[in-house]
Amino acid sequence: MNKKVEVHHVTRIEGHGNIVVNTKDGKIEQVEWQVPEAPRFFEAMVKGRSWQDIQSIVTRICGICSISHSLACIKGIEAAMGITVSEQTEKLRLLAHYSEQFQSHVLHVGYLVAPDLLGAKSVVPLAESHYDVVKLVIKLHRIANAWSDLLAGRTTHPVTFKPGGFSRIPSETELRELRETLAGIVPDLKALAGVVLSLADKLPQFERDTEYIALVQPGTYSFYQGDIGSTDLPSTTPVDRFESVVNEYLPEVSTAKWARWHRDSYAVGALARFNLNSAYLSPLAQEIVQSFGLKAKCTNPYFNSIAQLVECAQLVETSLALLEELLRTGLKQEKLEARPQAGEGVGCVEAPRGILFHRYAFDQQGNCLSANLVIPTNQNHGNIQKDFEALVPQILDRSEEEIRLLLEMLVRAYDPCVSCSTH
Amino acid sequence: MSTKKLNQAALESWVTSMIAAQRVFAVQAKEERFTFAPLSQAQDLRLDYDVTILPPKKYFLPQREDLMEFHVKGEYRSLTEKEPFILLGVHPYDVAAIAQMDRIFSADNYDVHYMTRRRNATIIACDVQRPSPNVFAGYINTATVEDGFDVLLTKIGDSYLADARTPKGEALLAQAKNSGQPTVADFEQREQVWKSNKGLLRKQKLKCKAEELPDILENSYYDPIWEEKSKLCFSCGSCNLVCPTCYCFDVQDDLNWDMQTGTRTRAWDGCLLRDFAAVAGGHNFRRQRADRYRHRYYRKGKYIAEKLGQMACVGCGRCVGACVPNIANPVDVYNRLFMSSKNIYVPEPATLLKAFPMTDKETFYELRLDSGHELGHEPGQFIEVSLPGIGEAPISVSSSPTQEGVFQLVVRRVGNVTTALGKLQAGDKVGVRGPFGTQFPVHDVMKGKDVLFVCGGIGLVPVRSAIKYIMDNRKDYGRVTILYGMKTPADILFADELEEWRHVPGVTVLETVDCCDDTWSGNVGVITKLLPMVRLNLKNTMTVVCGPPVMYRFVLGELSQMGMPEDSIYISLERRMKCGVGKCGHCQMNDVYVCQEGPVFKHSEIKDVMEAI
Amino acid sequence: MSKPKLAIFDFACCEGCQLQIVNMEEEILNLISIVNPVQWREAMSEESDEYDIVLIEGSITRPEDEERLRRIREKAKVLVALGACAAGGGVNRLKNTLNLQEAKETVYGTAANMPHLNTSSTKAVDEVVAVDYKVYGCPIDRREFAYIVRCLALGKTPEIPGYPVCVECKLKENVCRYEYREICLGPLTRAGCGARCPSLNTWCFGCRGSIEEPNIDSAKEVVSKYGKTLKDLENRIALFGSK
Ligand SMILES: Cc1cc2nc3c(=O)[nH]c(=O)nc-3n(C[C@H](O)[C@H](O)[C@H](O)COP(=O)(O)OP(=O)(O)OC[C@H]3O[C@@H](n4cnc5c(N)ncnc54)[C@H](O)[C@@H]3O)c2cc1C
Ligand code: SF4
Ligand code: SF4
Ligand code: SF4
Ligand code: SF4
Ligand code: SF4
Ligand code: FES
Ligand SMILES: [Fe+2]
Ligand code: NI
Repeated sequence: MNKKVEVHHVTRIEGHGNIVVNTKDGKIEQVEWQVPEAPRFFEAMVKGRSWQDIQSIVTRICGICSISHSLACIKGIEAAMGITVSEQTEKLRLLAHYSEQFQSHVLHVGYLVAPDLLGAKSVVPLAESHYDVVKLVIKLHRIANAWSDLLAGRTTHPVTFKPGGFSRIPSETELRELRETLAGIVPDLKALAGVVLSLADKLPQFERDTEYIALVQPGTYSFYQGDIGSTDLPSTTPVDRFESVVNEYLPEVSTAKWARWHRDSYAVGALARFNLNSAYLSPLAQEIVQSFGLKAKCTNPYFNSIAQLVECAQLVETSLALLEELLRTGLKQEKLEARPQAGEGVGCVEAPRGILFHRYAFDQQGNCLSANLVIPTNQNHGNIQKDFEALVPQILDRSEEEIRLLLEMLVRAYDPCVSCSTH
Repeated sequence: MSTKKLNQAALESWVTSMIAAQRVFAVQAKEERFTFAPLSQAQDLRLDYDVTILPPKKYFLPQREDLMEFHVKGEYRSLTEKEPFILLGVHPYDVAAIAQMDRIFSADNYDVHYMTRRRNATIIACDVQRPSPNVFAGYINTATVEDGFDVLLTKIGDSYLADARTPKGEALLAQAKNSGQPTVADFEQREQVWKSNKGLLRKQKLKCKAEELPDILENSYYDPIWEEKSKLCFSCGSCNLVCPTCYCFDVQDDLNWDMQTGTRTRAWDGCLLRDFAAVAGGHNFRRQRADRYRHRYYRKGKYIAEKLGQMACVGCGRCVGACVPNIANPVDVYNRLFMSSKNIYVPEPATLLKAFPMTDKETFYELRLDSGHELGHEPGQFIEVSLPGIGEAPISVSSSPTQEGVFQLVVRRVGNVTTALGKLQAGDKVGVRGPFGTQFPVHDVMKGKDVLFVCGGIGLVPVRSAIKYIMDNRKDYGRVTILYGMKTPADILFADELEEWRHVPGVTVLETVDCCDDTWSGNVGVITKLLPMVRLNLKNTMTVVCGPPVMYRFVLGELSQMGMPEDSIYISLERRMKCGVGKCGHCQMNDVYVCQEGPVFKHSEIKDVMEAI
Repeated sequence: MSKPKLAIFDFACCEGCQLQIVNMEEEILNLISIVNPVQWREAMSEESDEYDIVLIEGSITRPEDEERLRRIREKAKVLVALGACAAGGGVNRLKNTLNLQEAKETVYGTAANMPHLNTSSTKAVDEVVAVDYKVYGCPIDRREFAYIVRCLALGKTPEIPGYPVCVECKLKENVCRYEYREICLGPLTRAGCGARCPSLNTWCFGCRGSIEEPNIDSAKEVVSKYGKTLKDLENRIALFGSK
């Protein structure tokens, strides 16, 4: 019997990706994850641009992880030019960074994954059938966005981030209000975790061991600082040697580059972070981990969404502590004084979907000479393909419909940022 | 009605009691500027402000306000804001502007939205303590006010006189505790403040009288100035929006999500905006930038002036600062029109107020125009001085425009006119045409920068106008370095002022002479010798060079060796001149008319003009 | 009257504008009460070929995308360009300042000549098909978007600002960025964002695109007066390909 699954443009993900499966007489002829996204050439577009304009450009690589891109960019510029920033700036940036992780995870779990678990095609019918869940998701999402707005000046494509600091910082009153709001949503988070837990049996059982890569910094569940850690390696690699980790290549089926290190592919993202840093999770996050019986190293890719849920708790709890510190010391208005200088540097953060690298070189006047940007989804494409190759033989007996759904759900689990990866 | 004397503490506790009782909108700092904003604590009040970014009209005619709610079936419910409030710290020119708006919004068709807010407001005016550099209220009779407010605050020494002029004001002032009774001397001092403010609020020099404007405009509709100035206009409307007497608005509807109910809203608009007068079918009644640009001046100086008997400009100067390309200064425009309403070749009479020798060749003069008009010059400009029967000579204005009512010249006797001038005394008359020519860029590129002056001999005379301007606005500039070279110690000009400047913080003055005698203990040698003696932040320094022709080549050479960029050097050139207005051709260097495009040039602009240096 | 059917399609872009629709939060429920979303790949798996209002996000950079867009246009009653990329080319327009072959090599190195990487220059949607309305901004402003959708549902042409950002900036009573010697594109850029960037103490870089008849000559004069070069100005204007 022949089976054919062709999904041209997987839905409910960021960007354009195709699934192609062909079997003939029970034999697999083709299993492919394809990326037909239109390339945009950001690495060429920033060349010759001023250090003051680079962030405004590269943030537009991705509408969903624009804060991460902006921070990686600003950190890269600062590293290249030897610009240092105050502790306050670092904390406010981190707070902004957390807001995006939280927003992105809520969006993914609540709007994109939940319909699969609830047997719907999108959140639209759920607005009728599961009004309370939808309301809860919207509420968390709204709070996350207001949180980004406050720090970044805009939910998508930050305005306030500048080399050397912020163009504008929030007031203490605003931070105090944010603290109240975040403290207030802890019960909502528990409720959301409860809903997902009740549907956990809908997550497919599929295991495939792979290499997981994330930022690691001893003692923290890092999103922002540290070295590159791998589950295949006891030692870590400094971020400015990231090219030796990603080893990018371009397959014929993709306009985005793919990556590999110790194996044919590796994975980044919430599950990778969990697998490398679970020891440092906050109390509520640990509670959620336990309720799902999650253990590092977890090798079921579908559980990336659960790791995101865990991180939601982690992000809110860590942010509350961060706010506490900021309010204790009080806020200072700082002047932006950075000046351009020739040099080369790397900025690295964990974006919601995994580790993100920006490298820039500048001339004396601060004009960009070159850029190399490696996006989390670049690093996941190969792993999606390898998962496909392992999963399809296990489910060949299912209907085309079911195969299609399982593969779509697998792609979605990675929360891919496809247009982002085809920057 | 009563007047009380309040010291700082009494004022603060009075303001605190106001905040407790009602909404108070008061002047507060915003970065380096000021705005009216809700006041939450008395300490934030800044009555020492120069001018606010937006005028207080925003409390009567908000930037955006809901006029009514409606239902698509055709039901309307009008929305008016009724809560009382106090407006604290309104300058006299703004009080005058509010009074004018009141007339417009209450006459004929009564605007209930505006007028309700207006009636619910208590206005506490405050006399100006620190004039903005753009203000010219003194010419429009709005530097002080007699009415249009409830209480007037005037700073007298460390205290304020609070003068209640209405029952509402009286009731509010009754709340002030720990106040004192003003003495006769206090009232006299207040008279003094009013008198001096009428002169101080004349930072932009209007040459004609405000009353003359409708007539001048009458004949200026086709003046080339509209085309010329509006070339740089962004059509951004800033000049309208910040103006306390502009009130045009736009009205729009928006439905709620139910698609049944909605609100009708009005928001500020401006006649400078491109689509302001556009109508269906793509026609625009003021299609060209120049049409729109001109309209504003006519509205301010003629249409409304004729309708209300008072200009629709109170001289606050906000538009001057708000216009990024710096073309919205009404004084500039009205002065130009005033000048072109006259014959450019006919001098204006002026009287010498002072005349005394400075050296054996140079004489100092202070003059005033007999018309009472200001000369209205900028640092670096020159005038033509005329002696009937003898002739005319171009002479730089040596005083700063910050000096009110008079201007100063220094003239070296070299020939007919200058020698005849040397014989004149205080009280004698001369003729004056101008001011003409370009200026040192004290208003833009020099701001915030260090400034280096390199002057040789009589070159100090024009440069002094810029130095004095900078000294009067010291905080707007960085370090100031003055290098001055003369032939012999006896040639020194303005020795006392040089001495005074030397002691101003952040100012360095170095002199040198070509050949010395034993009265001189300072530097000897050409002026380029002084350059290595000063520490300059080349990136952040603007330089002015002025002196005899030989000096330029050496100084410019030295500066370029030091790495000073050519576009941060300004030089003032002297040429034979007759007309001063770009017609006679005497002053031309190749294709450049020095009297029009100079005498002040950016070095980078003329370095390729062969006849220049 | 049945609700108009709404479809959303995306081309080369960051998908940030679609995200703003999600970011309407609770109001998204209002939105679906007046329009019926039938196709929206980023958020829905439902699909349909029948639609009244189409929102196009992203700029057009490949011949095959032009084809796809034309097919969509044929079926759409009203076509709306959603966001800077669609309305004017957006940040992707920077690509048009580059040599395409060099750009490919910069990004893809030795793989640059693989045929599936071929693209043409960046085009706005109206350079390929007729556009009925434009929603400006990078990303779009969700309140303005909501207003525009309501206008469309009502059959009224939305009133979108044609004046520059300075207007809103003045209404917000900001200190002008030129006082800080920054090159602000506010005078050249279409308002509607509430002068977001100047209100956050930084320059406008033109994300809502150029107004009609921007006075570039004046901008040149102004920047030189503030000690900046023409190149500084041109570089900033290039970001969003304003005129
Ligand atoms: C923009 C400008 C600003 C000036 N500012 C001052 C100033 O502040 N104080 C001051 O004392 N002088 C100043 N001068 C110079 C002054 O204009 C001349 O000294 C004056 O015109 C000579 O006129 P006169 O009738 O006295 O001499 P004339 O009898 O006309 O001529 C006497 C001699 O002076 C020469 N001469 C004529 N005009 C000039 C001239 N413009 N420059 C140099 N030599 C000339 C003649 O060729 C002749 O050799 C300025 C000149 C210019 C162009
Ligand atoms: S025209 Fe200018 S100076 Fe006159 S009132 Fe208006 S803003 Fe003030
Ligand atoms: S502020 Fe200046 S540029 Fe703007 S409209 Fe007025 S005159 Fe034109
Ligand atoms: S306009 Fe901006 S936010 Fe919208 S899709 Fe394009 S790049 Fe993204
Ligand atoms: S900051 Fe920019 S937008 Fe605001 S007034 Fe100045 S130029 Fe215009
Ligand atoms: S200020 Fe300019 S760059 Fe900022 S949001 Fe508005 S249009 Fe875009
Ligand atoms: S002096 Fe007559 S043209 Fe210059
Ligand atoms: Fe890349
Ligand atoms: Ni992304």
